[in-house]
Amino acid sequence: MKILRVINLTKKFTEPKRTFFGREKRFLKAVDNVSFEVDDKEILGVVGESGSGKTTLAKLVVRLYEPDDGRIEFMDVDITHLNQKQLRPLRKHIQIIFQNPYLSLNPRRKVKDVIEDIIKLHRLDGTVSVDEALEAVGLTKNYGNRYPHQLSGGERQRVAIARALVLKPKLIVADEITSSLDVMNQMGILRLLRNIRESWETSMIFVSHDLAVVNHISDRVLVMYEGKVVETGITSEIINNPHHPYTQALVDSVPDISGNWSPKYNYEEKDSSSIKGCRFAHRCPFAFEKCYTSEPLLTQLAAERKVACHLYEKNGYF
Amino acid sequence: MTVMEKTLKDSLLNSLRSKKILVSLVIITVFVFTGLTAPYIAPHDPNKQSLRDANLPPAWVEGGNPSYLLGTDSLGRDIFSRLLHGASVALYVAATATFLTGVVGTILGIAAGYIRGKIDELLMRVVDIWMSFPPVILAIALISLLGTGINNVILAIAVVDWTRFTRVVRSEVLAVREKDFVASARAAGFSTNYIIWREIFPNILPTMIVLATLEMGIAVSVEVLLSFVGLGVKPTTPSWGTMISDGLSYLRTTPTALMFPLLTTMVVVLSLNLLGDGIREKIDPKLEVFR
Amino acid sequence: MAKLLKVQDLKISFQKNEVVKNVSFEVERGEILGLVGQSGAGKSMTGRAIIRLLPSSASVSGRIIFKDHDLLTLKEKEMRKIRGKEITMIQQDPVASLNPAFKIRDQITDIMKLHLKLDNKEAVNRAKNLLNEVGIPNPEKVILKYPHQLSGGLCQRVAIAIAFACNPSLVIADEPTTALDVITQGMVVNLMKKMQKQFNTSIIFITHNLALAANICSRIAVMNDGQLLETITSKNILTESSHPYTRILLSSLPTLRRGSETT
Repeated sequence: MKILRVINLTKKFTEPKRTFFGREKRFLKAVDNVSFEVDDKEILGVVGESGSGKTTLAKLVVRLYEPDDGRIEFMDVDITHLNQKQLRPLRKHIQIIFQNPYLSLNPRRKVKDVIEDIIKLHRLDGTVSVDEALEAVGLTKNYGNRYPHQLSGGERQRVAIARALVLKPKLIVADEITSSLDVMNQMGILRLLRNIRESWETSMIFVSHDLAVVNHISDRVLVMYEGKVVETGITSEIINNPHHPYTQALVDSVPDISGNWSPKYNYEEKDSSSIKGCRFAHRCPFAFEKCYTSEPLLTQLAAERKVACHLYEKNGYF
Repeated sequence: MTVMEKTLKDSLLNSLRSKKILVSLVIITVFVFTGLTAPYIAPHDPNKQSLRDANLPPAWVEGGNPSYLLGTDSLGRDIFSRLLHGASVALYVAATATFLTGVVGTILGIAAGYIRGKIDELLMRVVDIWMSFPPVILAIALISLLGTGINNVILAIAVVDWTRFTRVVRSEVLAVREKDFVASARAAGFSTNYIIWREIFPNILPTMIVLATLEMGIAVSVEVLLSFVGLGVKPTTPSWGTMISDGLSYLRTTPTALMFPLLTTMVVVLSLNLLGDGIREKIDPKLEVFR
Repeated sequence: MAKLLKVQDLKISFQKNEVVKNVSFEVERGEILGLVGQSGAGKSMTGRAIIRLLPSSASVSGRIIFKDHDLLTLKEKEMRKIRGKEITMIQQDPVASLNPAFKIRDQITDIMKLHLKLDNKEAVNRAKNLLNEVGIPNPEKVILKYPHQLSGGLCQRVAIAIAFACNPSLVIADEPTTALDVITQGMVVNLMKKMQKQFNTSIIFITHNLALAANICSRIAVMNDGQLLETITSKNILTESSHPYTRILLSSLPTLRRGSETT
């Protein structure tokens, strides 16, 4: 069964554009016609720079936002337009963890209270204990008595994960959860998540701007650019053989310790106000006429690969 | 000043889109215009008494006289002309008092906020002590010492209110001096003078403009209040405050003598506050210049 | 050849808190030295100590010998002659590091008028050329814009132009690409390498990203908790590094190699 199915998801935000005569409302499509699926026990990575829509997508999946268009099916239930009351019983199956470990925990509550609160809220007494949750994230029992300010950033993030785990969710959405941590803590959290996927059989959506981090944890990856999915497929295949020019630039730009790094991607920032065709055209070294007039659709290229790029149409791929 | 350039050119049209700014600006323009031209456009001498024409209602009411547009007060003085001259008084007081408090507040605020150290500590102690005196009593005490008159009113306002301006400027400077671009300027080797005038000052200017409009509102209110209790302008100077106090005594017979100056004061003070508010809304906190 | 910069026994503390403990290192002419460490390691503080821009509450001891002068003994007035001209700094947030109230033109010309005593016309011309050098398209247009009207990448190029405007001997780059997306980071890094070669400037490149440092710097000084643990050459980083902390750092780096961890 697919844990999650997202079909043609769109979310618009309004940005008032100031013109001479009055104010036009300009719609910014933060997430534009995005479709993907998450399998049982799968970790899906979502990678993109800021403004790509990845955080909005994360919030849409857990229904912190309501989509303007499209459908979200979680465990075969259509949750697209359910109201907060209807969503509540489902909330324990989908959990989200955020980037800033300093803001996500109530500074006045002890760690064990934070976790117990969730247990009590969902009436889960007896299924998972506070100690078990702490152990699962690699923290010893005595962490329960500490306050957040007594913990490091990495430890706080582990508590946030423990809090999410206690509900035994089927899907955990992690939005940039390692971005504020140093490399060592980051690696620890990534290992932890892989373990959790195994022992707790949870699926995950891991959102990050860092392709190297996503490579370490995800089975498949969604590459986003300005609200659209430009490429998707098996992580290792995408990294070894990126198809979309943006993905190529991304892969190219990640510094490698071996010293063989030479980012050759260079583009001129042109004014992209009239976006009719491909969003990436104005930055793309391979753009041709069609790219400026029609938007490429996300199309199946191979068994597990989809790309949204006219280049592949051109070369007779589809 | 380049930020003013940008303010005027790029943002003026944008500012006009704010209803608050538009409305208040219109009213204040009328206020300033009448304040500046009162001696030339007032139909009568504001101090000319005429017992024969005392307590007349406005021209459009039965019993009114078309040459006294808004009627007369108990001494037969034309209310309309007195209102216009009162605008001059209010404008003069507002502009001068704000200018004084502005200059003092800016210099002291920047000194305390940027240089810090002993100067800051000393200044803030003085401000704290100063602010602990009840402002009204301080103003009245000052007037009692120096005597009444429009310039003493200005002095009183400045003496009481400089502390507020100083405090706000200081806290703005404290915030701006921590910004990255100030560090860049220091890293570039610029002198303290340069940093204060090119880096700090232009970026606190929008807040100072807001503060100035609010300060003007306060100045007008204080002048009217002092004049109302007889501690403001000299009796020969027409002021909305004295008009209100005169009108109060004759409320039963000619309510308009009270209504007009009261309304005018309220509208002008409200507009000044509204303007300040409107400008504050337009300031983009990220950029500290107008959007 | 004499070293350009010699930092000896640098100690920085705030009240009782020692944030930089006995740090010593050297920088040659024309070299890019990396100062790598995680948050709080003291690398930023070290950089700012060199250009003497620490907050006034900091107490500093040790010696910072730049071209045979101990910078820590110079008067502020003398230090101002060095800042912006001999030693310059690039900061992390490109848009915030520029004055929002003035056009780009003024920000570049001001520093040249100050240190190079150019008149307005010469300064503007030189500014346009500099913007060209840093790869900004349409310098005549960009020069008239305000910082908030430009992207992060463009602003960082402007900041780099300003940093190189007076031909400095040493540039302190404090996390210059951390606030940029990875593609822009690549472009900025290429630019810095180019400018460095062109002007034969030394750069102290401060970053938390060891892989990034390994690709730009010839040598890397690894810092943690205020201490400088070891200095290694980037080429042989995997073999030369002996300090356990460096080894842990290396093994924690996420790479693009197939789900692997180095070691």
